[in-house]
Amino acid sequence: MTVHRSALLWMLASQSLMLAPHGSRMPLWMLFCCLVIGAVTLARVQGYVKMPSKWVAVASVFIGWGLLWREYGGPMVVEFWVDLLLFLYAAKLLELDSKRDVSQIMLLSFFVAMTHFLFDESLLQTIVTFSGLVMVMATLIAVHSSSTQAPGRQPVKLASIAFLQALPLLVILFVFFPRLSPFWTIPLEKGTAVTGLSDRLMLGDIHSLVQSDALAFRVNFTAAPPASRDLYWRALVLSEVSEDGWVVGSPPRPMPSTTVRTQSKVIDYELLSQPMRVPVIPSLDRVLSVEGASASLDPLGFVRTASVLQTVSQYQMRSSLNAVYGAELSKAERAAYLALPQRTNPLAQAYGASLADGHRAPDAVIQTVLAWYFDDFTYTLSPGASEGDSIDHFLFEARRGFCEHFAASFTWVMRAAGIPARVVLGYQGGAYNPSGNYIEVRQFDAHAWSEVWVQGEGWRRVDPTAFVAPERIEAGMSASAAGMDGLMTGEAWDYFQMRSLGWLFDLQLQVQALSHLWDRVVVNYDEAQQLRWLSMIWPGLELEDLAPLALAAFLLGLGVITVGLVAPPFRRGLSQEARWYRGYVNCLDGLTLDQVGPGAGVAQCQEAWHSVRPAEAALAQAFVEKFGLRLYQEDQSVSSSSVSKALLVLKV
Amino acid sequence: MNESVQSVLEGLDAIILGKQREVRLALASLLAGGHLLIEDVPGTGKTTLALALGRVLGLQHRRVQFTVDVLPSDITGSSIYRQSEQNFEFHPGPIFSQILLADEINRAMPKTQSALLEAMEENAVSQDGITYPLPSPFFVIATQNPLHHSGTYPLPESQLDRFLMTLQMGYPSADAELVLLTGEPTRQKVLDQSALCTPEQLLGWQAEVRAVKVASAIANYVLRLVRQSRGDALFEMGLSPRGGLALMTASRAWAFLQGRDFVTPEDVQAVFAAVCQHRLRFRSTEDRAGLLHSITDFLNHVDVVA
Repeated sequence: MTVHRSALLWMLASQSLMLAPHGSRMPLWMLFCCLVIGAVTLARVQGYVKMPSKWVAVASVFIGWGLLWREYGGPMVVEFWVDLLLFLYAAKLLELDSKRDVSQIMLLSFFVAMTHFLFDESLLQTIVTFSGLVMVMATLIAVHSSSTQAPGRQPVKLASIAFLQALPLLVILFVFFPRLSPFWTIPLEKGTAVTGLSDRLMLGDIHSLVQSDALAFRVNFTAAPPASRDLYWRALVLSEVSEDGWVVGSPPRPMPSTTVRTQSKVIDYELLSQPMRVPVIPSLDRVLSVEGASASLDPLGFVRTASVLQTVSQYQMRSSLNAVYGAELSKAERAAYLALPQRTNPLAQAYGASLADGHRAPDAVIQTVLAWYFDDFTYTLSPGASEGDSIDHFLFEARRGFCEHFAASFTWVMRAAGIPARVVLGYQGGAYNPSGNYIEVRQFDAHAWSEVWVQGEGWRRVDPTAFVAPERIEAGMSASAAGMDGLMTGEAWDYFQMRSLGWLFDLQLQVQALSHLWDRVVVNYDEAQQLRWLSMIWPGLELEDLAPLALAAFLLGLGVITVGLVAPPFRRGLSQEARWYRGYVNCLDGLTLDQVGPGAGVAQCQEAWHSVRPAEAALAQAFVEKFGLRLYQEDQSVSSSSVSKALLVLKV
Repeated sequence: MNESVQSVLEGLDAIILGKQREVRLALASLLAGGHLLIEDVPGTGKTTLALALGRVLGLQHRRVQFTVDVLPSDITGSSIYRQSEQNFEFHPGPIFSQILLADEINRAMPKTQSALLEAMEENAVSQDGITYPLPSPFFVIATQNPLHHSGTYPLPESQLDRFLMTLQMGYPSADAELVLLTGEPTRQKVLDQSALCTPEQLLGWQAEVRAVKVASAIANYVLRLVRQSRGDALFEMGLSPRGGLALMTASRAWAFLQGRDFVTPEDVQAVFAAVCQHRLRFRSTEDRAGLLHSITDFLNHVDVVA
């Protein structure tokens, strides 16, 4: 191989760095293949093995195609193409032979860098990708360095400088380049693997969520954030009972008169949601208005999106914490919110019916049930399994459970007692991050509660969990979980353990605040944000103006570069001779420019003229003679203007 | 170009096959009045080149094969006591010739090397307080085996500096080697070669070389080369002022051999490697070919015109 060994080591290092972010995602066999190819190449670089036959490379391409096709069941998912790119990126090492191959692999790295952001747009990923790119550039520098010496750390230094020089351009392009939003919304096969609420409530669902410390969303309040007990993030209303448990169903439209009457306490906030499993965005109970990509208010008072959220998205919302709504209930609504399946959970149905018998006021019924919960029930995160009529089992045997059990059973009993009721799914509480001044809600904050309809008052939020385990509501999940050692398992538990370490916790808060800032400012920078920014500079700017504006900027930039390349060098401090010389060298074709360094005199360039443009060689020769006469023979009869003239003739 | 110079070059080319560049560098060295060090593995024609130069230029030449036991007086000569006249008489050594071929100079011990190099610098030999001038023109063509060969005393840098140029012969091309194998024996060709010029002509050419014009643009270029070599990452030690002077002198001779009476940057570049490779101390410890490559690199990034 004609490439310096250290350049090859650089290449392997940067390639590993570019592949690493995909390591945990790609199929295991592919990871193995990449590692084997890497090891073989390393052995080749060190001189232990020879270059494999070209048939190995050919075979590996076909086998890679085949295996990937089988893995993803065809080419209709992005992962297939991404992994194919990565596989070929690694397999290219098998036919590594010359400088050209190294350059090709390194140029391919820039495409690989783009695929990183298909799966992760976090700050950490960006740092990893950027450092990978610096390594890639360093490799390119090391490969093209004409010195036969080991390049040492010099290429990394140069690449870092080049990278820093490019940063302003990156920022400018980021801010001004038109956002191509549809381009990035390619469905990913594993996009559905997000943890989060689903559109039904089976007992045990939330329990599995509580194990997860995955981020759900973060919220910035314009004013001071409300207390934890007011933070009910409403996501879904479950109004029907099916065989599987509570489901969204198809509730009748609320009466038009049920418009919200706001009383006081209106709060504005900005919510940055992570990808969700269902096309809804949690909002503070109860939301009045929402602004953001494809978001709309559902008549039932929660925020819908047009499709399931695939990327981090930002929403501006306004909520009223003590709004009253649903003052009147239509017949259809009343029927829907009282419906219960006939033969399931007979004990609970009977108990509800017995409460209704006394014709007591709904308030009294609600208080009776809540008092019962308070006296006889235990809040626990490990309720044990239930079978058969799960609500009966919970109410009359186990009496141990958490929010989903309480909400589901309470709503059931209310309906049995003739009080319209429904289950609400969402999140409760959240952790306040003082470094970033925002509230962070994670999946373990998932919560379920009930809403019952009270004549003359409308829908009232009743959270039975708050009666059984008030600390869960007052202080949030993290505080209550800390008191329940051993009840939680998995990653969420590690997360809480981490919180008990003082300085580490602080550090974690800082990192999270930074990550939140990144999500808000960079990841979420979309067309609307861009327009908002640009209209600060240029008031009255419309979305349609962006494309022509970008085109104009692009052409302007192109023009500046072209003029810079074509125009004679106006650099200050250059002698007349140097300007002649540069003018002459610039006249040569770009092809030969690499061969002509500053160390080549005009006579050497003349050889290039003869080989590249023999037709004009005579003109060039005339200049070279004049130049030589003036400069090297110091012939006073050759005037400065005659040399300039010869150069001008050549240029024209 | 001067016809006799041309014929000298042709005569040399006929003996040393396919080594035009080396032949011209060697001749340039002699025309510039500098001594020449030829360095390569045995059997590549070092001695033949030296002998051919002597024959073609019509100079009286002698050859000394250096070994470990050669003493300084074996080179410079010694004083012998004459009983009959009751005084010392100086017997000049082989150094008293116009061309001294010092074969395998690095096999001699340092004391002998010093004696030779001192004479080269002074153009004279001092013995018992009397200075005996060396003939004119006086050239030393030394050959040496690559330094890592066994049984060698490497010449110190200060003494290497006395040589204007270092040459590597290198292996001949396939065509040239075929002619070498099938044609007339080279040694015979050398012996049959008659002188193609006179010592007077040679001295005249040397005067012409000294008159070759060096424009200020060239002087500045040499200055840039010298100064940049001192700070360059490739070299541990750059060129000395004497190195710069040597570069200038050699460039003149090269320009003269190109038939010009002025120096161009190409002349400087042509002689740069030969003049400077033994004056520079390289940072890396690569073989000679790698070092020559570094020199090319260096030349490529120093501005010819500024």
